[in-house]
Amino acid sequence: MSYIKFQGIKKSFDDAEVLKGIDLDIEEGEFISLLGPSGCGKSTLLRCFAGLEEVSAGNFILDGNNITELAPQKRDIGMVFQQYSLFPNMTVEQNLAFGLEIKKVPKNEIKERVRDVLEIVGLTDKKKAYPGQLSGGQQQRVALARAIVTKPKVLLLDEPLSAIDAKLRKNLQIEIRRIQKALNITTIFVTHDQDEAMLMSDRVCLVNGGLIEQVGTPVEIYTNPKTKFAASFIGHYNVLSDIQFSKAFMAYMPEDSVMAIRPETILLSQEKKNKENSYEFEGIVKESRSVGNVLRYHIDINGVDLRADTLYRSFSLYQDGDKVWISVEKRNCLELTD
Amino acid sequence: MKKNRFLGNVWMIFCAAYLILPLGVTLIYSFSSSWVAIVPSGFTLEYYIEKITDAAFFMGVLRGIIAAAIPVIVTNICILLALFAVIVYFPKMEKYMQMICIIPTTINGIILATSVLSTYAGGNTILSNRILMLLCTYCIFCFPLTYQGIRNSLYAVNTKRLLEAASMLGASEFYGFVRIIVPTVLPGLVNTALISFAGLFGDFAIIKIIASSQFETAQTFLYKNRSADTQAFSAGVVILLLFTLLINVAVHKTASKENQKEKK
Repeated sequence: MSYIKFQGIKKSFDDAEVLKGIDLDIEEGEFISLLGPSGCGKSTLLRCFAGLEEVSAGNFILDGNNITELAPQKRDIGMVFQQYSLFPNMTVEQNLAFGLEIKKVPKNEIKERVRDVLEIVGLTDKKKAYPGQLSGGQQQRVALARAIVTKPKVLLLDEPLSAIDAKLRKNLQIEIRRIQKALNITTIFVTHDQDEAMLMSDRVCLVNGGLIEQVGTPVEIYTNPKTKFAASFIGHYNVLSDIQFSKAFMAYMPEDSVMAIRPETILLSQEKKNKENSYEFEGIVKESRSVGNVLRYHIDINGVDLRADTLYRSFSLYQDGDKVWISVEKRNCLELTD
Repeated sequence: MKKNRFLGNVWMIFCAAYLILPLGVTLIYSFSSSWVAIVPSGFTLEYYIEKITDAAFFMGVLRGIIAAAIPVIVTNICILLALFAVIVYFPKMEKYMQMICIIPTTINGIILATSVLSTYAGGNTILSNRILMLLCTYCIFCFPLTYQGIRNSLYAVNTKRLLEAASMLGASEFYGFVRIIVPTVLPGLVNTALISFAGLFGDFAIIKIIASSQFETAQTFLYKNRSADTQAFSAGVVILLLFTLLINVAVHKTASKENQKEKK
C-alpha cells in the first residue's frame, strides 16, 4: 500500500472549483514534484494536504491513517513556505528549537538535534543570527532545517526556490535533493519550473486546471507526454494540429488529435538524407537564436512553423532565409489526444 | 531654484519661531524671580521646587498617567485580540472592524464627551460613574490610532503566514500569536501606545466636561489654580511639557529601532 494517498481531492473557493478530483499515490522516501502553470491548483493541493485549507471532498491517507479531518498541528507534516516564514523575533537556533519545544522534547536532545540539522544545512556558524541578518539562500536553508528537525513523516516544499537568484537556485536544488536522500524523507515539491522538477524529482506529477495530466518519472514525462498540455508544457514540444501536420508533412492524421515533436529530434541538413522511416521536407530558416549551448531555429515548412534545436557547432550554422532539409524519424512523432 | 530655497528656509524659520516663541517665553517666565520690566530681574528654581513638592500637583500628574494608561492598555489588548481573531478566523469581518474603529475620528472630542455625559449621567448604573465614563470615552478616543497602528504592524509581518508556519510545527494559533506575533509587533505596538498615551495625558477638554470635579489631573489642577500664581502655573506647564517631550523621545526611539530592524 502507498505511503501517501490522495483520494478524489476536490476544493472550491466560493464558486470556483480549484481542484477537480485529484488521485495520487506516493511511496515512502519518494521525491515527487507537483508541476504546473500558475493557478493550476498545485499549491492549493499542498495546502490542503498540510491542513491549512479544508477540502471540499476526498481523503488524504498518510501511513495508513486518514488525516483529512486532522488539524495541521496533528498531521506530522513539515512544510517550507515560498516566503520562508521564519520567526523574525527568534534566532536561527530558536527557530529550529520551536517545533521541538512544542513536542516537549528534552532540552539536551533539542540541542543535539538542532546542532545536527544545522550541520546538515551548513549553517552552524549562523545559529545566533536573526533571520533579518541572513541572505535569501541562508533563510531558505534555515526554513528547510526547521521543517526537518522535527522529523516529520512528510516534507512539503511550496515553491521554496522561486525568490532566489538562478545560480544559488541551482546549488539549493542539489542541496535539497542531497538532504532528502540522506534523510530518506518523503517529499512533495511544488514548482512551476519544469527544469527544476526534472532535475530534483523521482517522479513528476503534472497538474493543469485542477486535474492531474500525467504522472511519471522525468524521463517518461519528457519522452512520452500523454496529452497536448504535457507536450507543450514540458520540453517545448512542437505541437501540431491534424491540419498543420498534414500541411507540413503531407501525411494523414486522424481528426481531433495532435502531433508532438521534440525540437531536438528534428535534424537539419543542406541535402536530402533519404532516411527510412523518416519524414523529410525542405523548409526555410525564418529565425535562429542562441540559447546557451543550443541553437534554436524556426523553420517554415509550407506555412507551418517548426522549432528545431541543434547543439552549437560552427559547421551547422544556418542563416535566416537559408533553405534547409529537415528530417524527423516517424517514431519521434507522438500522436496525442487533443 | 536658489531663491525658492531661500524663501523656503525663511518660511520654515518663521514657522518654527511662531511655534517655539510661546514655549520659550513660558520657560523663561517660569524661571524668572520677577518679570515686570522688558527683561526678568533674576532667575530662580523656586517655582519648580514648589510644584514638584506640591502633593496636589503630584497626585494630579499621577491621576493623569493612570487616566491615560488604563484606556491605552485596555484598547491595545482589545484591538490586538480582535484583530487576531479577524485575521485568523474571520478575514471577511476586517472591513466592518475597520469601519467601527475609524468612526471616532469623525466625532469631535468635546461632542463625544458631551454625548457620553448626556447619555449616561444621572442614571443608577455603573456606567454613570464619572471616572468609568471618562476611561471609556478615552478608550473610544484612542480606537482609530490604536487600530491602524496594530493593523499595520500585523500585516507588515505577514501574521497569517507566520501562524501557518507555527501551526505546521505543532503550535496552536494562539500560542503562535503570543510567542511569535506579539513579540514581533511589540515595538510598533509600544510606539502607537505612547502616541495615544501622550494625546490622552495632554487632554483637558474631555476630562473637564466629564469628570473635572471628581478626578483632578495635573491639567485640571493647573487650570483651577491658573490665576493664583502665574509663575508657578508656568513651571507646572513646563513640567507637563517635559513629560510629553520624554514620551515623544521614547516614540522616536522605538520607531527608529523598528526602521533599523527593517533595513537589516
